[in-house]
Amino acid sequence: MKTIKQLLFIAVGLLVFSSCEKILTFEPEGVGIILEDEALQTKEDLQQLLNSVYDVEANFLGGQNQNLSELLADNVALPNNNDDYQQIWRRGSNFFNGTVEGVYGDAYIAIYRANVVIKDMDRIDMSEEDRQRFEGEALFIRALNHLAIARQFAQPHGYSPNNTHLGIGLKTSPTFDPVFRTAVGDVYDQIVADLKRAESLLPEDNSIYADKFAAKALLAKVYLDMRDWQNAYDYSNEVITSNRYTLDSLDRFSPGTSTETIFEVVSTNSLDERGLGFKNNYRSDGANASPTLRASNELYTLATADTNDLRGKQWYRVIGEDTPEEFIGVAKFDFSYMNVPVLHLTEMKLIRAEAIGELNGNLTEGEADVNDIRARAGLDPISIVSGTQLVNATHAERRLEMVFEGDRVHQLKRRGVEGDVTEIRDAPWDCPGMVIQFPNSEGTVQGFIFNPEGGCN
Amino acid sequence: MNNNYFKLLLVGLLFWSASSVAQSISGEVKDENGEPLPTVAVTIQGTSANTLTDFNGKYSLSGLAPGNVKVTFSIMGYKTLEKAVILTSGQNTKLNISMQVDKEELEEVVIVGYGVKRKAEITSSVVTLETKDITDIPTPSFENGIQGKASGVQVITGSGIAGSGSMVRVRGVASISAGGDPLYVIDGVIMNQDYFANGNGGGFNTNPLAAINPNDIADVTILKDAAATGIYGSRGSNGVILITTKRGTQKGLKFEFSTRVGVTNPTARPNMLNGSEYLRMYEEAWVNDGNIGTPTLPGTNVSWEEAQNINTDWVDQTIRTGFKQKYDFGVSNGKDKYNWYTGVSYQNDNSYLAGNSYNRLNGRFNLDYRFSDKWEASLSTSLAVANNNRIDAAWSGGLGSAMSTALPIYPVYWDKDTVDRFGNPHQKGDYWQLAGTGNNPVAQRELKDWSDRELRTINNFSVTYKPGKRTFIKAFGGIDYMDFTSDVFEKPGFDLSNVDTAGRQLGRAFLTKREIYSTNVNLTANHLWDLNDDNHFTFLLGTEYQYNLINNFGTKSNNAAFAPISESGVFERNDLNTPDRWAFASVFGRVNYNYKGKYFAEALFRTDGSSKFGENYKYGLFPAVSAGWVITREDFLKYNPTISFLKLKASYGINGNSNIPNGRTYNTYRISNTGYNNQPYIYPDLRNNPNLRWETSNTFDIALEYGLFGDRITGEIAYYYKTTNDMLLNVTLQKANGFENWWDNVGSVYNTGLELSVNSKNLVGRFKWETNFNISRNYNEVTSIGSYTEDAVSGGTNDTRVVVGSPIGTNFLVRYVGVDPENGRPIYLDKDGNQTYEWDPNNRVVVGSVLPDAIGGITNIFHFSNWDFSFLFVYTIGGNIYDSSSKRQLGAISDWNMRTDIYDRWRQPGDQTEYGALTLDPENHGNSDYWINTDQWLHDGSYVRLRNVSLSYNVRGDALEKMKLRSFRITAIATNLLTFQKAPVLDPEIARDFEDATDRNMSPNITYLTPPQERTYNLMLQIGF
Repeated sequence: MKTIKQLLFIAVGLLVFSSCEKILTFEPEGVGIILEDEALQTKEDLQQLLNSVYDVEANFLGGQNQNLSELLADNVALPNNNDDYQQIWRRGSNFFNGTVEGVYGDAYIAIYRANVVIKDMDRIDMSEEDRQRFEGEALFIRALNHLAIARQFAQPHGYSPNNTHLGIGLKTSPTFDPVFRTAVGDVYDQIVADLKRAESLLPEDNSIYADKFAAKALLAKVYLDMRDWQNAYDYSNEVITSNRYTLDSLDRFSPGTSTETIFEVVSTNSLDERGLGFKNNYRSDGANASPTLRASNELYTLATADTNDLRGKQWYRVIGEDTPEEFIGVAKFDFSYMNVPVLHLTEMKLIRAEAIGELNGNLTEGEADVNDIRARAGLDPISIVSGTQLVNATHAERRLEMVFEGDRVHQLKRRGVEGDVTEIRDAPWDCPGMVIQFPNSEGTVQGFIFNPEGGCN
Repeated sequence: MNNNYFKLLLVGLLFWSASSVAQSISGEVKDENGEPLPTVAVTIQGTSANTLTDFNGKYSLSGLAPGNVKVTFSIMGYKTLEKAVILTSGQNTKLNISMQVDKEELEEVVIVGYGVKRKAEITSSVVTLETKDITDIPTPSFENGIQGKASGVQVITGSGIAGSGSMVRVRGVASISAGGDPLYVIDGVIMNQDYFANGNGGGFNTNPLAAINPNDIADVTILKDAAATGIYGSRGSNGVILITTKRGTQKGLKFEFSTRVGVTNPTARPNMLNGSEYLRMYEEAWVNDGNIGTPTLPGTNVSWEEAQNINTDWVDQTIRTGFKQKYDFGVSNGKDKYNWYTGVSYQNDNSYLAGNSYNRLNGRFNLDYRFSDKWEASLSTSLAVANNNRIDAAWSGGLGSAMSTALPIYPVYWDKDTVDRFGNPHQKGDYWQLAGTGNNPVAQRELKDWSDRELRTINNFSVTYKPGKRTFIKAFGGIDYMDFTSDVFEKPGFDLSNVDTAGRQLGRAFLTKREIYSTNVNLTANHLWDLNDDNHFTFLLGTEYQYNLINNFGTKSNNAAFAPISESGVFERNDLNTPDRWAFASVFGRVNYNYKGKYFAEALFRTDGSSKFGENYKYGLFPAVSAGWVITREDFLKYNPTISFLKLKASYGINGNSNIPNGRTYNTYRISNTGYNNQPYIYPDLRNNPNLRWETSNTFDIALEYGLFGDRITGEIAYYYKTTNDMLLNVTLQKANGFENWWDNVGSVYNTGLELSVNSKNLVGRFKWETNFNISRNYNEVTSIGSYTEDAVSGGTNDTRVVVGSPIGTNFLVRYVGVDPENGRPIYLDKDGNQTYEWDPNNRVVVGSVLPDAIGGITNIFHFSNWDFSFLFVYTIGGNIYDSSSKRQLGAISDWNMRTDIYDRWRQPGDQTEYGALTLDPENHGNSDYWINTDQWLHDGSYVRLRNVSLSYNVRGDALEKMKLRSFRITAIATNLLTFQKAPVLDPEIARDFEDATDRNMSPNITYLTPPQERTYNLMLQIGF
């Protein structure tokens, strides 16, 4: 019996010892690691979280996103030495494309963080003015990224009569729920709603970050996609007539903020280069003699058709001339670091002019917009006599002016919807491969519908 | 050896050893009560004469030679008897004896976690291997020695890189993302098992078991079912391997010395194209693609003309004849009060991969001290200092480059002073690095110093108090400390673009350091209680706390280095980057019941609390019950002439698994001081799942242990069924959620299997022949993965998936049909089975599994006079091997060298070939991507391998006494001499480098430029005095 008593005593003692919670609780620790509860307590914390949104955004918009669009259009030749890029260019992207996965993922990382800002701002003490700015910036980024993804991973607005065709996953809260695709019409509705609210919340001036005019400029762009000419006109006109922006030289992409920038990605010095997506793929000077992305011959011919066109002269260089390896290098991004304009006055003028043309509005205003841009390129003014002529002129200038900015394919698709364009690089504008396939990760939950593939060649 | 010749030899030996003369011995054997005792083995020592007593206990041996003979009577459960008999010519001797029950044999004990049990009482599934089983084969690490010797235990020996580990799987794999390796416990210390201390750098996972000296091991016990592993509760779901090291005996001072030297080479040599062959294939592809004129080579590093004159055999440049040596010295002593063992060992293993070697110095001291009848203390301490001189291998370079992107048309050195096309000058004899240093494996190796150093010390101390003869209270503390440093120095010139402003070449240096402390303390009480002569109980009650701390110092790097970082100072305490802690607190108990040595029952439980889970799911209860019945103790089977031993046992129990990274129930942010626009920022780092909980396994096991013909044949047959629920999965999240992955408890899997082992003493007597055979079949099937799809969990880059209705590690690939004889294009099948030229990942289907149908081994051991001869075959039946690198070695041509298999290619309409028309454009193979996975590269994984052959000579008798030695043995050993395989791969036994635990569980048998195992020839000398 004595032994049993002893055993019992020991057992009870041990049970007490083992149930001690402290010896079984270790919070994550380490340099730079902080628990959620402690992470977001003040306005400054929230500002730092918002900074992280821009940090991802800078990577996304520093060329990575724009390049994917450009690969689908007719401005670049078959990429050199980049399997993933080649696959997209060949309009055969599949869900194993790691480059696509990275770019797509970045868009949503920024959206997630923006959603955390929106969710947590109410519990943090700050002025109403600050709260409005936080929400406005977060909504702006959310809309910007939803738009960028929708344009690349779904058929364009107008592809189906009521825009019931599949769009993308919309994320409006920071949760981990299965994400399914929403109709394109609903995606654009959400984007417009987010931007209109952002427009109402954002201040007119907000340093290098999104402000009221960034929201307006993006709305103009969205309405152009939607072929809502009046709204496209109104918003682009509002931005232009604010007189806050003036046309710059052709070096919109260069160190420092351009006078025409409405929203941009900033690189502060050569060690803080945010335009890597452009620079690493296009830059063709000096030691970068074998770039991944090169201009198509068709584009080069067009850009140099008028020998006075400064864009043709400044933005291209022929490499290995008259050898079997000859190709057209791009000089637009020959900087060790540069700012990347995302929304700029040039685009606003082109939107306004095109909307005027479509609306048959004030042709003189539209003519001036187009001629401002032509004049900067060293070209003679043209005289506009009809809306159709104005629309065509904006199309021509838009391609040459916004070349490699990831714009071209979306304009072509919109014009495909309008019936104005039937083919892009010899394939139907709406063939399945013109839409990029979602990354494999999206199919990890049952019920996610992928895009059809191929069918273009 | 010729089969018939071998048979003839055997027959001859038999005749010789049993040469017939007229003398005989006969008689009757009875038990202590005077009852006849059947099935007693009667043998004449030193001869092959043997027989069994019949049902009436009678026996007769005739044809014996005259002279002094010793007759041995043996049967399980009784003391073995020896009787000396003098046989005169023509004599027929009568010898009647009576045998005594052997209490000691019944008391033979086995360590079964936190206590000892009488062997006969074991109702669970355990296998014990002794020191000779582990050390009879020169292996890179002790666990390799288990291979083929224990049923239900799959051991895949790693690659030919020195210090490689193995993949050990006990009864299949029951986890996906949580660790699937068994728990290793050495002398009661739960070992740290970090396979990813250095990630998969260089194409190699660090082996946390490599620091153990096989010669220190006394025995290894493998716990297989829930009844056996249950006492380890949440830790035992994938089996437990208990290692016991040598201790002194009370037989006095003993010395043991052994040394082994050997040479190694690879088991197979890659058959890569030489320079002109490569150019010929390349040109054919160039023409096939419709090109004209002189072909342009990939990367244009060399011109077509230059290439004609270059022929580098990169395989020759990266392999060599390896050399290994090992020295062990052990001393043990024991008296009434104490016994101790101490050993030192040095091992130097230069693998067949040029530049790669592993050196290890081990020391051990084990002491047991008895203060009084009531108090005892034990101490074990060991120290290992290991240095792995690393090389790049597999995908990282070296032999891997030789098998891939180091083209035979690339030279090793510049052959003249020249200026390259980038305007950089080179002198004759400089490394040729135009295609990158990685594609000149010689430069890569010689310009890179890489040393992985490990300091490991495993210690324990225990005090046992015996208040009475039948009660043992033990306090135990153990610590396993590992200090791991990876020290890399890429010398100036390694990266030619790394220059300072003066144009001077700079080197790069990295130093990674990690310290791991694994500690456990426990307090146990064992009590033996006999209700009466028939009813025996054993009680165990205990508690344990395990605490692990991993100090990740991270990596220090210097991009402008002229020396390794270790030469300019290393990490300071305050450099500590992220400490990682986890702990378990447990209470456990066990009751054993034994009725008349005939019926046995056991019940046990363990409650574990784990720091890895949140408040609501911290604790888990893991019970197990088991029972056994020794049927041969029943009257109806007591004197069966055929069946000498029969024991039926069954068990059911629940195990858990919480082997996942730490802190997965917390949400964390990370702070960075400068981000976009030079502003500080914080961002969500881990989004975790507060509802994470234990992965649990329920196991049912039933087994029959048998002994036939007086235990001439023994073995076990076992069946098990194990379901694992709430599997811990590292789930790939949809990118739209803004995070890569998180941990979730999802789905279930079951494992079921059959195991059979047969140990047969084919011949006893003067010429002994013993055969040990085992075969195990495991089937494994995923029954649910919740609402996720097969792409939610993947085995890294290996294209294995988790598919409901298929095993873990299913090959999920596009099906390949063959080459279209008309045009040479590969044909695939779409999802519906229609033929297509297009390769589309949407058409992936289940095509195979990396898990074998059956595994096993067969050992034959022969003893004759002073000679011992043994050989071990290991085999695998079924299962698939995926040769992931052959899609580039035999696919569309680009900057990879090809294998000579490519000669079987399509050239003109009508050709029936294995491989399609050569092309430089992967579109001709169905996709713009070169890296397309299809079941063309999936092969039958069956193989038989002659793992080990050894021949020993023992000096005995007078000769030994003259040398004043206790033992003297010389052994010649060869490993991996022969392999018969179905798959056209270098080595059918593959444990490549893995990216993480999920990859490790899902992707054995995937090879990607993995170096084949080594073949070794060794001489070993063992001396005891």
